[in-house]
This record gives sequence, structure tokens and C-alpha cells, in this order.
Amino acid sequence: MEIKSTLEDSKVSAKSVLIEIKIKDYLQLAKLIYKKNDFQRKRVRSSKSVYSLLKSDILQGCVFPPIVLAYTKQAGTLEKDLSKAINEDSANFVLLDGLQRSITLMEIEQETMDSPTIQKAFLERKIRCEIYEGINKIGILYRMLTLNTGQTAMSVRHQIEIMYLDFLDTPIDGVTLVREVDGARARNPSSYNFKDAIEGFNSYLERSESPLDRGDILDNISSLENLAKENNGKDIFRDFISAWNKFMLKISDLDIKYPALDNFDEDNDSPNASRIWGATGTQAFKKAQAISGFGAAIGLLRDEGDKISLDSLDIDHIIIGCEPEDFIIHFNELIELINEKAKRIGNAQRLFFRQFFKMLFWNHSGCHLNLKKALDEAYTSTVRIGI
Amino acid sequence: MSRIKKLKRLCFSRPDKTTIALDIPENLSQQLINLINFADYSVHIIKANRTIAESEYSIIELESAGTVGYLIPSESILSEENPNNKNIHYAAYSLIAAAIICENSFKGNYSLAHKDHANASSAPMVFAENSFYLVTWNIKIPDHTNLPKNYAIYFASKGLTFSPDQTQPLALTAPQQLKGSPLRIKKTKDLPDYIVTILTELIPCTENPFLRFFYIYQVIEFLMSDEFNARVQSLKIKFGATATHSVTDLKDILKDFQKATKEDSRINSVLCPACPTTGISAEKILTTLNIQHTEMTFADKIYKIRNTLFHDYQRVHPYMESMSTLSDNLFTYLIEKKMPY
Repeated sequence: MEIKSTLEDSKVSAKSVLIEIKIKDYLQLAKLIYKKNDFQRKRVRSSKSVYSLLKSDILQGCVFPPIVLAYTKQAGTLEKDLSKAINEDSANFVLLDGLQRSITLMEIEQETMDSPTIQKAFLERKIRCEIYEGINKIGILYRMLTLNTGQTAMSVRHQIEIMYLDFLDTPIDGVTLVREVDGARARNPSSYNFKDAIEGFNSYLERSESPLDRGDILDNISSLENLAKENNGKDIFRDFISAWNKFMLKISDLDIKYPALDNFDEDNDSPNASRIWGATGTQAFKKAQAISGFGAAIGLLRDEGDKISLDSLDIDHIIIGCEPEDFIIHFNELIELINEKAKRIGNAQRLFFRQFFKMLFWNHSGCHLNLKKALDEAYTSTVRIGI
Repeated sequence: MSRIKKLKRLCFSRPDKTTIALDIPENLSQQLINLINFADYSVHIIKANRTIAESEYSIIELESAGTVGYLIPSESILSEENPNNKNIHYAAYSLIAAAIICENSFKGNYSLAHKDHANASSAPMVFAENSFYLVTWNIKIPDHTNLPKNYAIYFASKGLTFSPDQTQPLALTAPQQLKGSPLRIKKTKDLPDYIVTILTELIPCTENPFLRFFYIYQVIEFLMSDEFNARVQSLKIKFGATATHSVTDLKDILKDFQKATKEDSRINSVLCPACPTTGISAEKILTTLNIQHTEMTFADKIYKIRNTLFHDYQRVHPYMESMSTLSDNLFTYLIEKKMPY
């Protein structure tokens, strides 16, 4: 193996080192690292014909584009002793681009076991690898998000999840954050969908209830980098989720239920339940639109000079303001009206929740800490703003 | 595109070759997805002169074939919050629209996409703004390649226009929302292309009400020429029925022919029965112009306004708003009552 070229990448503050390496040596490394990139999406299933074509091409000596790796040790290490790094330092390598190709190479090795001559020729052949040396986690993510054009793109949900992966480890009392990739659903009272939590947090930071899209994620990389530097981001995130959890527990305590749904199982998506927005108070609020509205509202109230903060919300003193049944019926009626009128339902619902939480927590709204009054005022102002 | 069991996401290719992944909402039914042959479907953009609500939609029916498609708001495509996502047929047609638009993007065809698709980063920037997608099952529609031409007048009567360039119409009838009830589409027979264009593109997209009236009057002229042809044809038959005609018979035929050549006679035949709403708008203008109209028929009133507008424009110039109301009402009347289906 040998280094063929070295270039500076100023954007991610790393060195891009192009090497040639025997497939035999690359596979030794690849087998140790191909499963460990949390950012990497799962293997894409291609048609058998495409696979077999790729395999026969490789056996015939086809050259494919460089596999891209990240090497997190400081710049200069590879140049000092490339073989040592490749053979002994797999822990610091991350596979950025080329998972599918690497797996195909491993499969070819397996499938040529019975043909030693063919296998030897295959393993001795050289491929190119591009290694980002001295790159940090943010840089790895940036490279993955910006360089994945032309291949199967990551979904926004996946991007959000990897972008804020570190926040999953943030300990928050009693709260569980559930990732879609783990195949779980946020059913328990204090468990929340990770993506929804991140969207709510982003709404708080941005003072906007709009959902994140791909452009936003790229824009947010720099702000995340700043947050990471200050080591502040996780504290704000913890405060945010704690406040939301406190609100949700209060709603749960208020025992708000749709009439004639006494036997309603919150986990059961029965036809009756699915026709309405929320059969219980918890259901009505445990949605991405609500947590985003909450984030945006509290952020805006802070900006408007209201003496309000995430850890000082007077959640304990929230009242319904009418019979619980009347509240949830009315709540569902208003959501239904919004759904009928809205040009884009998701945006309208987010705006509605933003207005709801503004009214609920703004001292001078006339609806302060009164769910029923905040609900009516939220609807009126949402329609006035325009949906 | 081959048949598939479940779509997890779709990819949209921007002109700069950036690929955007669009998640398929979990709550969007995919029960029928394995039955769909995407090549059998077409998608057209339909516009209305109002804000389209995400929750509205309509089933498209053809008398001879039952359900042949769906009219789906563009803003509802791949929307997680859409209340119709669990409707299996709606969901299937919605996915067809999404899949075709995304597939087209890889061929460099963005005619159905959002105007700002070059900067798209999520579904709202991929799919057209404030539009409907008309998704139709080709094999159920005879002459489906001419669908816009054949059915444009019907859609215009429902306040909708085909709009390949995504132009927002200004004036159209029937501004009410579609609540899921079916639209039983009817093919327009034997209309020249220029009349279809006038009714479905020029009138709805022309801001100036005087110009709108001019276009409308071209349609009346067409109906009058049709009436003339019918009368002449009838006279020809009458004339040919007998080898020799008496002088009286000839005088009658000549009289009928002279009548057929007169505009006021033909316009009275064409604009019958009268439209009360349009009549009131016409009377308002005539009163403003100090023109006595008590003895006039509905057609006479329209004809009088036409003459004033075409030969003495300065008199009507100040009354733009009244002309706008008249034009709108007359357009509705023509498209709803006078078009051949």
C-alpha cells in the first residue's frame, strides 16, 4: 500500500490522503470497521442482477471509485507509517462511503474460496481509498451529508437522528428517547420519539415551529459545532426535554378523556381512535406538531422580553378551565376545522400549537395557565394569521 | 417501473443532480401498491383560482368506466398529516403521483414539480404549490392522450383548469371546495381548439374584464355561426325537398335565410334560455350608461353592451368592476349551459 496524493480540505479541517491498497489489505481493515459507523445507513438491497454484474466486473479487474474512509488521529500519522495505521489502528477508522462496495468485496472473497487462483488474483488487485485524516465527528457528518449525491440519499429523519446522536446519551430524569432505527415506538408516558424531540428543540433554538428539512440540517451543522464548543447544547436540550416532560405529565394527571372511550387503550390504533386527533390529553399533545409549537412559543416568549425560561414554567398551576370531556371534544373539533381549511395541514397545526403555548404561558394573554381559554385564543389567532 | 410491495421512500433528482430522499409517511396506506403498474397512469396539473385545502379531493368518474382517477391537492403528497392517508384508493393515487413526479425528475422532466424544485430539500419544494394533481388510469379512459383537450371544458365548469405552465387562473366559476364527492367527467364534443383555449386558458387568465368580455364574445360568435350553419342546413333540406317551389315558398325560404343572417336573431336563439344573474349584471351596466332596456331580451342586452364596448369604448371604460361581474357571470352561463357534452 502506498500514498499517492495528499490534499488539504479546509472546510472540514482535515487532510485528504489518496492511497492504493491491495484488496487483501483493505478487507482486513474493512471487516473490522464496516459495522461501526453509527451514521451509516443500513445496507441497500439491490437487485441480484446488479450485484452479480458488479461482482463479475470486479473479478474481471474493473476499477471503481475510491472508497472513502475517515481516520480520526491527527494529520501526519498516515504519512508516518501507513501500514501500521491500516493494520493496527482500525479503531480510528470510519467507513464514510463505500459500504455496499466493501460488502460486495467480502462476498467475492467468500464465493471464491473454492477457486484459489481466482481468489489470489482478486485479493492481490489494488483499489483506491481516500482517507480523511484528522477529521472530527462534525466533519465526518458534513462529508457524509454533502458527498452523498449520486447514491441513495439519506432520509431527513435519518439525517436528524445521526446529526444529534450525541443527545441520545444525554441523561434526563425518567425520560426515554426512542429512535426509529431501533424499531421502537414511544408508547410510555415519559418516552418520546427522538426525531420529534429534536424538532421541538430546534424549534426552540430557531424560534420557529417549521419542521427541519435537508437544507436546515446542513445549515445547522455550523450552529451545532458552536454548541458543541461551548458544551452548552446538551444542557439546553436537557432543560427543554425536562420542561416538555413536565407538561406532558401534568396533562396526564388532568385525566382528560374523550367520552365513551373509557376502555380506550392508548396504544391501540382502533378505528374510533384513529378518526380523532387525540382521544386523551396525552394523545392530543404527544405529537411532533405540539412539541415544535411548544419549542417555538417558549423561544418567542423569551425573545419578546417575557421573564420566562424552560425551568421556570409554572406547569404545576395549569388548569383545564372546563370539564375535561368538553375540553377534549372542543380540542378535536378545532383541529378538525384547521384540517378542513388549511392549505398545508402540518404547518397549520404547528402554528396552532405555537399559538396555544404562547397563550398558555404568556402572563398577559388573558389565558395564562388555562388550557380551555388558550385553546380558543389559539384557534382565533391561528386563523387570523392565516392557514 | 416494476411492481413493488412497499415504498419506504422516493428519491427526487434536482437539476444539479443532487438526490433528495422523501420519506413515505408511515400512515399512508400501501395496501394496493403491489397492484399498481405505474406505466398505466398519467398525472396532470390542475389549477383553481382559490387556495386549495390539503384535505379536499375528488374521485374522477367516467360514465362508461366508473372510477378512473383522483384529483389530489399537490400539498397533500407525502404529507404525514393528511386525513385521507388511510383511504386505500386515495393513498394509492397519491403515491402514483409522487412516484411519477420523482421518476420524471431523473429524466430531467420537471413539468409537474414545484417551480423552485431546483432548490428542493423536502417534499413541499418538490411537489407543485397550490395545485391539484389529476391522476388518471389510462386504460380506463378512451383517447387518454387527449385528456386535457377532451375534458378541459368540463373541468372549467367546476372551476378548474389544466395548467401545464402552472399559471394561476384569475377568473373561474365554482369556487367551492371539493369534499370527496365524485366528479363525473364529460367529454366535450366537436369544439374547435381555439374555443377550448379561449374558455379554459384565455378567459380564466385574463385580468382585464373588457378583454375578458371580448374573449367571451368570441365564444358567442362561434355559437352564432353554429346556429347560422344549422339554419342554412335546414333551409337547404327544405329547398331540396321539392323539385319546384311556388313563389310563396321561395319568399318564405328567402325570409328565413335573411333572418338567419341577422345577428340579433341568431344571438337571441343562442342565448336562450336567459340567465337571470347575468341579466341583472347587464341591466346594471345599461342603467349606468342611460340605455333604456326594459323592452330588451337577455340576448339584446348582451348585444347592446357588446356594441357599446366595441364601437364606443369610452362610455364603458370607467365601469371596470361592473364589466368584471358581467364577464364572470356570462362566462359561467356559457360554460355551464351552452357547451356541448
